[in-house]
Amino acid sequence: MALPAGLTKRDLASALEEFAAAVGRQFVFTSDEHINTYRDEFGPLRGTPKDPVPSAAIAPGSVEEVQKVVRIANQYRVPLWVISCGKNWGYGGPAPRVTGSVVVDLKRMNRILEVNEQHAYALVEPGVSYFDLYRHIQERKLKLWIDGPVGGWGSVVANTVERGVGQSILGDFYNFQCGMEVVLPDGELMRTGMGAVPGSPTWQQYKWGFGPHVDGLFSHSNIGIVTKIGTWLAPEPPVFLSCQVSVPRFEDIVPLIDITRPLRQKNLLVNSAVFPPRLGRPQDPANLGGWYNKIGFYGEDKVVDLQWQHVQDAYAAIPGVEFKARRFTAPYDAGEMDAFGRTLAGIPGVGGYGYRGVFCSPILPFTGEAIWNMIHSFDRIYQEYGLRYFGEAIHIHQARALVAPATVPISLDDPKVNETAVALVRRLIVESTRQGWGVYRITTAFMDEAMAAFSFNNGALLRFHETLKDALDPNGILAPGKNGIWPSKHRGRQA
Amino acid sequence: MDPVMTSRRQFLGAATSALALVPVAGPAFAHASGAAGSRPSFYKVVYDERLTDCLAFAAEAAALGAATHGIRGDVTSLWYDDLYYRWREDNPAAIAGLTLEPAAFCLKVFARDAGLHQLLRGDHVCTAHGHFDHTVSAPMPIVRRVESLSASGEGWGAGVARLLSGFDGRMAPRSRASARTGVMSRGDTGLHLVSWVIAPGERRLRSGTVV
Repeated sequence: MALPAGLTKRDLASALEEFAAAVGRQFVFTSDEHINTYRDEFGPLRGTPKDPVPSAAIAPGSVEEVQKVVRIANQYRVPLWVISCGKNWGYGGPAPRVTGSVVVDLKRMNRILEVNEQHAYALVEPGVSYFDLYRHIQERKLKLWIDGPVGGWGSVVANTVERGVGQSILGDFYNFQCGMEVVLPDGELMRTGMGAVPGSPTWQQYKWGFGPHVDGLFSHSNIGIVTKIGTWLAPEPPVFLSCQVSVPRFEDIVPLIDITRPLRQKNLLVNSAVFPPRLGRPQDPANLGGWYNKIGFYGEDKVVDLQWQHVQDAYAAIPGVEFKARRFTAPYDAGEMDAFGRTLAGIPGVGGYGYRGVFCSPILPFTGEAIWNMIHSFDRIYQEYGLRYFGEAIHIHQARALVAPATVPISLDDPKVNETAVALVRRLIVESTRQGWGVYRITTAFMDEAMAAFSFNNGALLRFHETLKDALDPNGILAPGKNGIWPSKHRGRQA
Repeated sequence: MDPVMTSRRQFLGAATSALALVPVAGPAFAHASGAAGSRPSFYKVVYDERLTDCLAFAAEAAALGAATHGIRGDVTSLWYDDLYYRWREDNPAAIAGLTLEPAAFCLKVFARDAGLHQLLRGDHVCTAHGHFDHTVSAPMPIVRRVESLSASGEGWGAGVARLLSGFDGRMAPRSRASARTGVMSRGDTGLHLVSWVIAPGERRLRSGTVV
């Protein structure tokens, strides 16, 4: 059994006995077989001494059990790593940051507490996946749409607080979050926003509450365990257009992005994703075809037609541009849509797992010039390692910035590939920092480097995070090292 | 709102060689001439209908009595519309297949969430020289027969089906074996197919654990 630094075997054993009393002995897992299910399948450190291994996993079934777990962890100073559905592939999966941590697996907390059709929201527990929520809505024939990430098996709660993205109308997941319930590191239970008013009917309807807006403190964070989240849904549109704009040359990405920007700012496009010419394979900028932009339009009949026509008129400035569209009307049949259509309609799936890799995802200004600069500067770095730039889709879920993941392949069984991956990602982070691009998310192995880029005023932001961490989690039990935020006892001795 | 009941079996997910598996009588593919009412031991045998070797695999599996199911890379519909329900039953269904790695990965993860596990994995990789290298991790009775793939030549897909047809679900130490099939002229360098078996089991506790 892997021991975390600073914890004795006896204390861990005592803690596990108390965890067993709190959650039920049958939901405490220490065997190798079970521990192996909490390893990172996409981890670049696999097979190395630095590949993090939990000591145990526990599965509380209720908020009250989570509170007990946190209090026990404080008593024994046991580091916890919290997962929801454990599907954070490419960003660490279910594995902890610190070897010897006890994984708190919230999959048993899988109730869909409310789906409100009138106000278009849902309130869910962490173990609810996008598939679960979609099935719930479909079975009850509710006129609501969701959106989800590449893997519909992911947790709605976790993907929201990790600020994941989708490709349809609700693709900026965190932006559509409204109200949380959180277990704090001392076991206290708190609700944010209007949820702090007992009996409030607007917990999932009005984001801000009263006083400082604290929800963001529990996003990308390690100062609370989110046990419920409100998420806005979309009314089912009467008409949905699944559209594609294709441009023939690699360099057409520049005008494609520059034309998209005002369309997005004016909400003529609510979201889209621009796919590189060889998705899933390395791209040689000197010798490639063009790009395609997948766009959905959602709404009333004549309105979506006018939007699409206007958008086509704008893109017509690119020589050789081509357009495709498929029109769907309610009631919708997912079987009639192709894979991209289903994605644009927010229908969850798992078809996007074409390759294993980790991501370095810089946030770029919404300009073609920025994308072009990133591709070429990254490609020079890839070539230092015998590879070529390997881009994923460029996500346009916000109106003023782009998320542009660069993928670095990893291997299940070739340590040299993974050594290269680690070195390459570190170089990409250095380059991103040099260019002033912070990253959107990153896998656990590189969280310290990613946070180090946010160094304004001698790291004032990280010091602020650490101040909160020390105040709220003085024993440092909750997800130490998450996104580079370490409890005081670990600072200077990071993994 | 009624909570979704999650049994311990459903919650736990995969284990490996420590499992005591529910014995399954007879070969894993039911014969077409099997007894009336008999049920295939594999609920479905999955294959990627875009790939030559998978088509050969499926044809042989069908000839051996399996119910085959073709996919085009994406297992979403197979899981969402079918296995999701079959894996919630008291006797969840075992499946087998030959697919690309992402499909095998996705089914393994879905299965783990439902308390099933991957009991066999074969990696079949086309090398730069046109060979297919086969590495199979499986119970010993299967592993002893992996060498037969060397003689299969271009028909190795059918050979994998015959291997899986011998899977009978009894606990056996897992081992690993490799084989290589001869040079093929198809230019599929780098093609990586995965054969797999996913099945339920009854967990046997190991001494010394907390649980």
